[in-house]
Amino acid sequence: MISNEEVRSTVVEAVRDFFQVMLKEDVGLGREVADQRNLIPVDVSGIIRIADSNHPVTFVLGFKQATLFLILSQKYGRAYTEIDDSVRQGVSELANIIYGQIKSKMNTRGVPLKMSFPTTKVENNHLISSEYSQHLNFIFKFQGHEFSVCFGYESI
Amino acid sequence: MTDEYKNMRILIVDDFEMIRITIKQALVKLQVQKIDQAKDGTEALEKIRTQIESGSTYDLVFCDWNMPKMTGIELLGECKKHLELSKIPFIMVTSESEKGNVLEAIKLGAADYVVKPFAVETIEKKLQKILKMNPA
Repeated sequence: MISNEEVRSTVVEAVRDFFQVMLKEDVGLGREVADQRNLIPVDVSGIIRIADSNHPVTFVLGFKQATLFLILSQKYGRAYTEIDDSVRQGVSELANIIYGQIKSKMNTRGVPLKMSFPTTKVENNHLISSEYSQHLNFIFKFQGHEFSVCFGYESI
Repeated sequence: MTDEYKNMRILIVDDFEMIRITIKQALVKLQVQKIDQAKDGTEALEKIRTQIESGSTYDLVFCDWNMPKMTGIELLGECKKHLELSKIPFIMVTSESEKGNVLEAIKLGAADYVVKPFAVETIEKKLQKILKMNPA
């Protein structure tokens, strides 16, 4: 059993580490919100859902289209104008990598989180959420543009 | 930075374009010039065989773990079955730092592994290791 504060710092570190290591960008934690309805609406989200486990969790990472295109174009040096397969795959892989880090850190602390294949949701202005009783909701900032992260769980 | 990696021929195998691009960008920074890409194990196996048939070979394969058609571990296993392909070093790329996976790959003959996310410096360390293992 680890504290909510440890879960919180693990999720925040995993998101920030990804951007620092792979994109060489510092993302700041803009704010944390208690109510999922106060997360910013997004257009594309990457979702990891592990229901079949003693430790069910959901990890969701969501972007407005403009923010996502900014991140991708800076990283890959070409313009992105539509949410195509490569963009969808990119977001699901991003969720997969960040969740992999969370899982790895949790495993080290004795919490046997499992892996699962990521899925994506593409819908204008949808809210990301978790069905579990405990959830941490973050709004991060990438060069002034916000994106939402949600980590939900029952007990860890 | 030296040009010690310039003549290496490297194959990147990953179903996600972003990861292929990220590894390619790291290799280009390290002055690697001969870089090929494949989207899955089946396409990779074809490229590896084509190289062998043309009298050349890959000096290294960066290979994702989970891919459609043929997974990374299946590709590694297939290469290890054939003498002419078996000497190509594989670095497995995974987002899961689970020992079980890594041990399975090492047991099958993988040279090393890298856990996503990774920095350019990590890729360089892996290349140095491969060069030491297989000096020109």
